[in-house]
Amino acid sequence: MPLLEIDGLRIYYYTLSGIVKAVDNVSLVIGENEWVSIVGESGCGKSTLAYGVVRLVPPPGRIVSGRIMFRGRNLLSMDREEFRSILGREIGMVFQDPMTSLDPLRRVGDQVAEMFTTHLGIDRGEALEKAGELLEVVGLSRDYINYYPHQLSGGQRQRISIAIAMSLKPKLLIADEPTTALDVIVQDTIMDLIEGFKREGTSILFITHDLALAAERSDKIAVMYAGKLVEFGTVDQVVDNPQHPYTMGLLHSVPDLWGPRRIESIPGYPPDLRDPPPGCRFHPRCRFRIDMCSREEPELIEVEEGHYVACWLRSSGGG
Amino acid sequence: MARGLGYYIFVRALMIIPTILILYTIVFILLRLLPGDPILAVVGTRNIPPEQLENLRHMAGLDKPPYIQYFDYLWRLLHGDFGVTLAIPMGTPVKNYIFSRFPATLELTIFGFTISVILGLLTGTVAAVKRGSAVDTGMRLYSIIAYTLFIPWFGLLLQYFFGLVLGVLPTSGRLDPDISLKTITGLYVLDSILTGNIDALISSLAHLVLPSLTLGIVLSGAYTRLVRNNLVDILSMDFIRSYRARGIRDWKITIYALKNAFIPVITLMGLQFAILLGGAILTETTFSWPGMGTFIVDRIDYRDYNSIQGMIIFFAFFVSLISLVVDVIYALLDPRVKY
Repeated sequence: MPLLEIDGLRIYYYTLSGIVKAVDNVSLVIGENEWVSIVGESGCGKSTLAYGVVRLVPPPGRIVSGRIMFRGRNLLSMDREEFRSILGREIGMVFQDPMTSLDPLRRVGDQVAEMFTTHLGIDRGEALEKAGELLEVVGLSRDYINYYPHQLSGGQRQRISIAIAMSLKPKLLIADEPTTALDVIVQDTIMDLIEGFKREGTSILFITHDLALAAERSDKIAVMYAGKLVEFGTVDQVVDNPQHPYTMGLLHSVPDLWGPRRIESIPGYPPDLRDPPPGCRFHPRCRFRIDMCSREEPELIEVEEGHYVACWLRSSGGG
Repeated sequence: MARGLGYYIFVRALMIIPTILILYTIVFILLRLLPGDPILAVVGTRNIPPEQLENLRHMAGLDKPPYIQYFDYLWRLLHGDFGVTLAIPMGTPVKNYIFSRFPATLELTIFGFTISVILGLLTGTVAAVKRGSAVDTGMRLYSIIAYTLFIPWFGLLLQYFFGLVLGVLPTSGRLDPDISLKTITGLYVLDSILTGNIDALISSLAHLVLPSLTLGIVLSGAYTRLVRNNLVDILSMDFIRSYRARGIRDWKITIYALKNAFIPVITLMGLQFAILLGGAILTETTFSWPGMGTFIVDRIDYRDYNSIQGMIIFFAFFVSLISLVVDVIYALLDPRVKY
């Protein structure tokens, strides 16, 4: 049984100007102790997908249909209290902006310790003791429990966010662009930290727009485009043998330090998700499009073991 | 941060001095610009020989040039002397009035303030948590109506309904005339508790209900709005989403959000307390409440310079103290405030 199994998930935003299909029929599996990265550009629905897993899709967004099975239980059909007890305890989450994701009025120690008092029911003194130990695990001094968030740097705050997310050793850590707001050096140490937890058995669902960053440490990569999952496979499969033209485009849009390759951008813009193009959503920007692409939507099919792609060029039924 | 809270309070307290000085100067000039003077107001239309008029002026010190009067009174203030009344009854120390009238106003203010804060916090929080629902719209409507209510009109309405129609609550004064109460602090509720006087306690509380409700409801409108809007902002912030993602219980998150939303509310509280003392004038007049408000209105008719100056300065001093306390609370609540 996989740890997390997302099946046919649809998350729509019901805005005044139309329905935005931010996540449209996405299925994804994350195994035990596996690092899966979801890659895509801004607005492709990758963050919405992450929020969907923790049922925190901001209004006017709503989970329309689908199942999210976590250790055999459907997260979407749980009552609020049952789900709350899983959040933080079995699923941890780290957000993009460390500057705003801690409560400015409460000491860091109290915010960390709260995880132990809330989920384990231990008293505050003991919880603070554990909070101190935890801060040392994430590479901060124990004294930081007495600090307020505004006294810390972005990187330190992100360490604390990670410490909180990992405080109860959850089975799954969801990290929504945890390094985007940080500079490159700090970025690397944060990635090391997350990798350390993975080594101890936690599965990681990592959301990023940076394919290179994802390729460094992930086991598997899922590429999203305009609310759809377009390619999914191991890092080797996706990076060395990309099957979807969009994935190829993403790989070509990153400079290679050692090669002669020029940066090539993907022409055009992502579609308006209130009114996506018919057929394959990427076809208006695709260099390889065929007639079929604008008529019918390609299914996600397995092209080699564990390597899935949604493209008519790879689909035997296409042409 | 470096010099500490004590230093901060000290500096803030020093700033009360220029505040009071500026206020005194303005009030002094305004009073002298008003047509008429206390002596004429006392004498009225009676025919009094000019020499006697001069004599009265001299006794009141009004024959001296204005700048001498200004510094004379300032000198007295520095010694804690608020002067004597210039109109009927002449020559009573203003301090006596302050001591008898201030507790009445303070008592009304405290109850009105408490009611306004509780109402405002409740309605604002409910509106924010139920954002976009009919409840929210209802609370916002309440806020606007409460805010625009005219105190004397609303007071009359309550007096009519609870006093006349239902006949359950007294509509004027602070205490039933046939109840005697030994005053210690001048705050009747406190005094009745201190002296163990149950009858007086019930009576004084009953007398407080309508005026403090009037004041409290009218002032709560501003809180409803502020609390709602701030809380809506805070609830949409990242750290609230983080709390939810950590599985923290909803009621706890609401409390943390309220604490964050409370910071601008505290500022309003300080300002409201000053407005409250002013609003108390209207309320006091409506409910024949023997406080500072009715006294000042009364004394303005007499152009009783000393009483008006004295009362206003005392008023201002009190408001400054409240705002000092608010600033300290603010600094204690928000770790980001540097002092």
